[in-house]
Amino acid sequence: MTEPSLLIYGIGNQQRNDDGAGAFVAGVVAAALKRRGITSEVHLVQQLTPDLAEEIAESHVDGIVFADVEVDAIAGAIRSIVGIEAPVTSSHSWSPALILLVAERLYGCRLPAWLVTVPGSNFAHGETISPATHQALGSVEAWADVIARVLLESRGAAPGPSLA
Amino acid sequence: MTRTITIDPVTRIEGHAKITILLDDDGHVSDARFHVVEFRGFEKFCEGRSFWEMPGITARVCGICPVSHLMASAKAGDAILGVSIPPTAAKLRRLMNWAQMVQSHALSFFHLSGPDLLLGMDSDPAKRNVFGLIDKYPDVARNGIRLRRFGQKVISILGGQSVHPAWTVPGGVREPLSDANRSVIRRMLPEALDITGLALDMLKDAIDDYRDEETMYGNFPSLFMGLVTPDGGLEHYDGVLRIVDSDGNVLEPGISPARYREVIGEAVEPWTYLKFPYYKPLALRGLNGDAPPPGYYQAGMYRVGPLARVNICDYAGTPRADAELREFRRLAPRGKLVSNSFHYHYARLIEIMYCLERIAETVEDPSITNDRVRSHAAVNNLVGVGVSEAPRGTLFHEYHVNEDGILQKVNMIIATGHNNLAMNRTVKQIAQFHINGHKLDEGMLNRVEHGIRLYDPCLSCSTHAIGHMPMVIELVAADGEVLDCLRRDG
Repeated sequence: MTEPSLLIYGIGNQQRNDDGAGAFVAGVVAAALKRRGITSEVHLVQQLTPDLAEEIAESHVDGIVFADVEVDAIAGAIRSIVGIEAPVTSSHSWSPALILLVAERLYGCRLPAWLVTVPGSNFAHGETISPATHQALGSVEAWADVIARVLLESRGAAPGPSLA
Repeated sequence: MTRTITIDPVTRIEGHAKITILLDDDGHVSDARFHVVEFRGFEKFCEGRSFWEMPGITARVCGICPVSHLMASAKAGDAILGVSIPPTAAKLRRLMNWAQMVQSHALSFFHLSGPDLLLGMDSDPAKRNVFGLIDKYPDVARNGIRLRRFGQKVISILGGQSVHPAWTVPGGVREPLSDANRSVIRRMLPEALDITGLALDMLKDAIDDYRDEETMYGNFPSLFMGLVTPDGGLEHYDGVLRIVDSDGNVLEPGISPARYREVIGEAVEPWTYLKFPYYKPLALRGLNGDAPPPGYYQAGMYRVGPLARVNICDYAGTPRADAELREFRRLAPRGKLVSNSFHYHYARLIEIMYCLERIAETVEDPSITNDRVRSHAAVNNLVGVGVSEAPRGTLFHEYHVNEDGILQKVNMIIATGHNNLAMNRTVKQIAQFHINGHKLDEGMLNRVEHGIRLYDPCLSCSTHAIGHMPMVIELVAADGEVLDCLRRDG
């Protein structure tokens, strides 16, 4: 049986300080999942666009993770975003939930999906990440446990040991 | 008398597009202001960096059209090096640029404007969105995604990744195109061409339903600016700058893009961060060195982007696009330009067709797989100007460097900035049609939003986390009282 696999989208602009945290988080989550026997393909995107719905539908993965930064959040968080309400936007940038809903409605694709977020406060031009944003990454092993449990249980396999 | 409202930009939150509609003493719309909120400082951020880094840095200005900045930036770098890039490199850059036009225009037409155009401007707001489009026209929704993915795939094939490909560099490009990848592009083309043909048919069938919108959505004379080939053909990568008025009079037949400052000025206002580019010879006419009066720059208003490009060119140069262009030009009296911004939608589709035809032609060029794709040199000029057509309009990058190639000064005029005056006037025109009394309504919000979307503006794409462009419209009386306010979250 092949390893479960995931598509991880790291979202944000790496030249706008904390806005680039999504890319960083995506890499860290991928590494943590690898330690649990789950392979990931990381895609870095500045924003989410409708074509990603088809990309997800054609991906043949077992789940999707979106890694992003959230203004005014206090700490990092993970939440399942399958089947949740998604306000429709008229902008160029879509939400993870909206992408998933379009993937389901247009392509019949419904996969386990999570949004992991870290707080961000500095969005000026620059290439650094704030200490508070870094600190939220302390939760990454717990996030990887959550994701691994769902994926591995769905395959009838027990989750591997955490290396935290 | 109209009360002037000055809004302190410091209080703005980036990513909000705010519109203020001003009433005069009689309660009629006297003006409308589209406040664009962008953090300033990008040009400052670049100072001290090497010009070699600039394509990669400036590509992150926009999440939708990074390729445009790659092109303009690389061309500014070419000028600093003082090189002519190899012919194959120029063809490859054009290939990527055309692919970007396709993907960006597809997103704009199918997903941003499609629900309004195909479901009806006055249809149930709860369904006039992507899900309404999926329910009623699932094939159209899929086609839009397929077309955008075509563009993204070509960009990814050429540059190694579809977002911020670090492939276009001063002097040329990093990697040639392989035979295998050329075949991949070739195989994807027929579907893309079919989808575009269907979209054009669909739009033309629906056009009679939008005679009102033609009248009120940016229907005013203006100048139009863009690049053309030296013999007046449709152009997106190189060529010369042409400026034409709505009556078809050519004010600038073909000025070298590097001399843009001779004809383009930039004004500022305290109530928005976006500058107001204008055509200097008209705006400053008759002043003879006197201080210009307030609002002087409005006389030099011009539009850029798809509508401008198809208006100013003498021909497209590919068979299906030329046929569409001839049909498009019948929307205006003979010899005059199509001056209704509503027809940006139509122009976008013509450009998609043109770009696909050019891609098809270019992949059959035997030299497209040559491996000489880069010229090498050191700094030979201390100023470099790179100009390219982004999906939204003409894009200028101007770099001043020292002998080591370190940036001392950067100036950029982004495509959306050129359209600032026109967007303001469009909002005012829509407001004048739709404001009745002292209340705003949902229909008004939709119309204004659509009016802005005609220009497909690039606003705050640069910061994803807070760049969702919620829209706020305020209706302000002559005495400054805010009479009503509507908000739509982006």
